[in-house]
Amino acid sequence: MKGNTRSVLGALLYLAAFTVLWGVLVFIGMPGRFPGLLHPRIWSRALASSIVLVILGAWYLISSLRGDREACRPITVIPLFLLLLLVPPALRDPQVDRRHLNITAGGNLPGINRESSDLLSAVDAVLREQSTDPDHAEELGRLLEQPDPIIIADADYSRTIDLIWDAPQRFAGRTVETVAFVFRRPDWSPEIFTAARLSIWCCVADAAVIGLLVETSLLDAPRENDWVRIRGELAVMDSFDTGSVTMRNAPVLRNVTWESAAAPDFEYVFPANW
Amino acid sequence: MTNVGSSRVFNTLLLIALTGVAVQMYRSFLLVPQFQLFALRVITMFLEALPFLVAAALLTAIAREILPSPRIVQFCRERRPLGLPLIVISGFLLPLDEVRLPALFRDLRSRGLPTPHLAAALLAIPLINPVVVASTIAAFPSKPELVAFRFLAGLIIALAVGALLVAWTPPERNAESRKRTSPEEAHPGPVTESGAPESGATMKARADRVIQKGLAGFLMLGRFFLVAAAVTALLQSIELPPALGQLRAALIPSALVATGLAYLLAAPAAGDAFVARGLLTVLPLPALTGFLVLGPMLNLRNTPVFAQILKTGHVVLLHIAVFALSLAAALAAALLMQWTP
Repeated sequence: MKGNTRSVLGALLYLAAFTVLWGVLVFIGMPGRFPGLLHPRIWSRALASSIVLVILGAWYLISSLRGDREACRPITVIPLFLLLLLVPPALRDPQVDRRHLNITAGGNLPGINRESSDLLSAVDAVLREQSTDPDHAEELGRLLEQPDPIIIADADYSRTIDLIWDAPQRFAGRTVETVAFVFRRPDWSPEIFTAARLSIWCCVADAAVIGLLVETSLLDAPRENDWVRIRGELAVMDSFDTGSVTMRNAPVLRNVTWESAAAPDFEYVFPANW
Repeated sequence: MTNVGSSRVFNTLLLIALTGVAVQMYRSFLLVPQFQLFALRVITMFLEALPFLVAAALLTAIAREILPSPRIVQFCRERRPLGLPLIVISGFLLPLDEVRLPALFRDLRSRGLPTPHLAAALLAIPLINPVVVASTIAAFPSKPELVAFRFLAGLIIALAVGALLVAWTPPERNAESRKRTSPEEAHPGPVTESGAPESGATMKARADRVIQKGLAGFLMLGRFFLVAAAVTALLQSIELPPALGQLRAALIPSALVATGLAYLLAAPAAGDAFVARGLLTVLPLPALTGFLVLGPMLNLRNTPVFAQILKTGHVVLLHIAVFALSLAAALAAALLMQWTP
């Protein structure tokens, strides 16, 4: 047993580390604790795999106690999970600068999910309006049939925004209302911002801004990062330079009124085809 | 207490102290918003990949208990035409992660697998593998065409390079190899890290080996993945110089960068799709196809393994061929996706 002490100690540390990991994942999964850190599907998979690791660690420990195995340096697992033991706060923390989330590193555009921006950035929205996809046409028809104001709700936020970006001309003159935060790039004109939400595919590592451009007067503009309930009339902007890509036929809200709003319990939205 | 014992205690205390310092530094850095975001990205990427890393490590440990089938090896040794495709797709039946390649290499060599087939297997098995398929689907659920393209391109490249190696390697060398090791001589079970046959064929002994090797494999995969995730998160979090920022609009330079990154990062194939998705902010999707195809086949980790089994000239040619074909795959992906800058 004496010669096996290191192995047993290692196994104990191993088991402890994975148990803590398991605890952290359970903690993350608790509603409201870390909203948006991970999509529920992802954390449930991560939780299941950590349970597997805990079971294997327990087997390893029991075998070690019986003295029938050599040490495999399980202590190395500690640094591996150091980051997990000190999970940073989720992105709702006001310290997080949202500008670093999206456009700075690439060509992401408000209104277009990052993943599809490659294909869509240079495509005229008018062309996309001519889509022959019957589901798309049906959804577009249903949205257009809604009476004013068209309320962009959290549950179908991404899909509604996608539809408006797909066919901005057909929504011209319609009134739209939504709750969003104020996002603008430093190089944008002060009269322009995006009424934005963060769309996450799986987790915050994917967060990308989606939303609608808003044109307002300098004096009326809300502060960056503030949550607002905003209502305005949709129009079409011939072209808009995001700083990385020039977009044509971009939908924009004009004649807006807004009031401060509380951030939603769950700040993030998911892509339409999740 | 003996000198060895006191040295161990000292090392343990030193490790605890250094860990404490690291934790404090980490906590301090968390006050910086950019670092907070960086840490979140690394963690979430890791948690996403975790199930696949665990599955890859465990399946590798299980597969090593039963791989490779002597029939497949015999098939390849006789240089039958189907030997090469068979060994290339064998990863689908017996998945192995590439982090254990040196052990796999010893296993296969001890069974007398001819050199060209061995190289083709080392190229293909880490990529053509159900865990990698599943993780790629999980990372790109809306892009089945990308998933199919990745594996088709990988299959074609492994077969093409394997065929080249078969053509380059004279049959005499294989005859020599046959003389040196035969299936009868080859040990039927797995070998240890030192190359010696492992003992113990009872179910209990096998289960113990699977768990021990599975856990050790997971630690290895996890470490390599964390390094790749950290570099990716860094690229996502920092302001890139304008020249790099323009990479998304230039296919060939971005494909070169993507394949170069795949080689240097050496992310485990079971999780590299999540790394690739993280790189979407820097590189366009077609270029990342090159990353996904090349990474598991050729990287900093397996170059020394190829150097052990092939002549230097063949190693260089193999690298050039795989790099060129991966770049071609990225360009083909751009055409198929109708990519525009």
